[in-house]
Amino acid sequence: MTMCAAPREDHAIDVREATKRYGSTLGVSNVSFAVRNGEILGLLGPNGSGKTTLLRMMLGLISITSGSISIFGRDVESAGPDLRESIGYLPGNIGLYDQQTVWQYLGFIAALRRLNLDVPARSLCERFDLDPSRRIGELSRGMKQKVAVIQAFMHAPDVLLLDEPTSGLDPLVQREFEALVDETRLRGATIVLSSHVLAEVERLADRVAVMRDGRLAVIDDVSMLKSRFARRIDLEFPTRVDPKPFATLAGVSDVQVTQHLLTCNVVGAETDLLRLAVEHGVVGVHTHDPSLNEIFLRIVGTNDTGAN
Amino acid sequence: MRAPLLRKTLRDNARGIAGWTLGIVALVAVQLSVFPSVSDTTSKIVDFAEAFPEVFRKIFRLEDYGSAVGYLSTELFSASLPLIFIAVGVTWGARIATDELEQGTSDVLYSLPLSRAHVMWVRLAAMVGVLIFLGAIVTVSLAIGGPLVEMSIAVSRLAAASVSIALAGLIFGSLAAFVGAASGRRSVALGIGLTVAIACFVVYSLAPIVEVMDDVNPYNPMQWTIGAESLKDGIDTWYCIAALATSIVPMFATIIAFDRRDLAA
Repeated sequence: MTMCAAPREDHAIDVREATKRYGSTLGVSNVSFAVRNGEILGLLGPNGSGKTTLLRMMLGLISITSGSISIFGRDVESAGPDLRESIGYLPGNIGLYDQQTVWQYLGFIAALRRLNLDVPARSLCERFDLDPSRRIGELSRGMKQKVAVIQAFMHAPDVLLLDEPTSGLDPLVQREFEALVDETRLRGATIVLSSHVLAEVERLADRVAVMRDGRLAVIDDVSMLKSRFARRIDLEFPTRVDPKPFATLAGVSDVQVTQHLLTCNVVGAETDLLRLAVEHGVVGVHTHDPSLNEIFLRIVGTNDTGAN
Repeated sequence: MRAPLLRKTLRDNARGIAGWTLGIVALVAVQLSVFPSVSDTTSKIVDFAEAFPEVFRKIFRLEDYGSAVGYLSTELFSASLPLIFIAVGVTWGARIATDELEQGTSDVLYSLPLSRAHVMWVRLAAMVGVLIFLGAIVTVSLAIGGPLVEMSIAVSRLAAASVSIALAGLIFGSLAAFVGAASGRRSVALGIGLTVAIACFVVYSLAPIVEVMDDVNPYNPMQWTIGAESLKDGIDTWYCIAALATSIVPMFATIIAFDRRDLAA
């Protein structure tokens, strides 16, 4: 493991050239990024891309082959277990103690944290409509996921590592979860959110990191990421227009005309396109930004990380 | 921090502990109930034992069968109770590191602000506590039941014998704990723990008649525990130290092995 340079003080999480090797296989390869205090970072990637491995490395559940990861300026491998006092973790596949009731489980976790969390735990149980007297073994998958969410949030951590947090939750509960995340962000916590629900990541995350084959393919603000990729613009004219002048514009591609409608893909500023459209008497403009889902598919499907 | 973890560990195993306790009490009760028949026919028992070859008498420890000490040594402290304690130790030890891994509960547990070493020490301490408890059950059962069948053995000797068999459970339980921590698999820990225990028992049993096994037997944990004949002679200090050392080393190895292990998702 290389010696880590002094971590940046404004960053809650600092990942530097982190690599995890399993024999000849690389689970995570030379990943570097930092998560600012109070930021929500969405972690995306296909199955097996290294997202879960990276989260587990942050917690010390698995060792780091080379590189370093620090949380609040402390190297996760050499820091004592007290570093995890301010971390909440929601694993992708959580196992609970089936013989305990929800309340017993949350009480056990709170006791191990040496905290009295009766009030926040009960409040979260009410918020997620979870009967704390029920035995965990009797709960459905979605209800167990609620327990998992509560145990991660109830001690008001400063860093949250969430792996597929809404898996098994119905849409109403997902909405409640998003509200909880928003509240957590408002109090200044830092969140790394790994999810396959791209719409959720798009709503919540400030930045998105996309992993592919253990490597970091791209990391950027959601809006900046979208601007890297072409968006479709529909221009409505009173009469049919000639597509050739539009096709010659920089950043414009795939120009098609159907009766009074001209559609094209645009990367970057659309100023010149709009100026030309006005010259041709445009009567309507509709812009369709690429969804995070579309961007994700482009990145992991073709390794296209968009125009810089 | 230790209390909730220890409480949970003991609570999770409460039924098993109760079962072992009842089983031990029942075994002791059965053997005590037979003793009056044995003591009433001591001379015939002695003649019966004398009829066997010396080798046979040595293997089955029949030399002093008619006396209370000889009877309990043969019926309880040479095989049945030691094997019970070894079974308790190995099954408990095998689960110390692997339970949470196999249940899928390790992720949340080890993401909490407590060290893996802490968890392991608490679980190892629970194993020691349970073995001591069961040893106390043996002592109390015999101390109460013995006089009822006119069996007179000092409580200190009963306690010494109970300590010896508890140490047998501890040695192999610690070994199973280390194998579990190193492999991450309970089945492997169980298999190796029991195999080594059985091998040691075979060596101990055949040592009186097989020279090479007799040469190795002084280094055999079974000799330090069962072979110490604590019921007759009290605690053998050096054997006790050897047994404790043989238990403590795997415990430390368990901590080191588990601390370095990647916890599978």
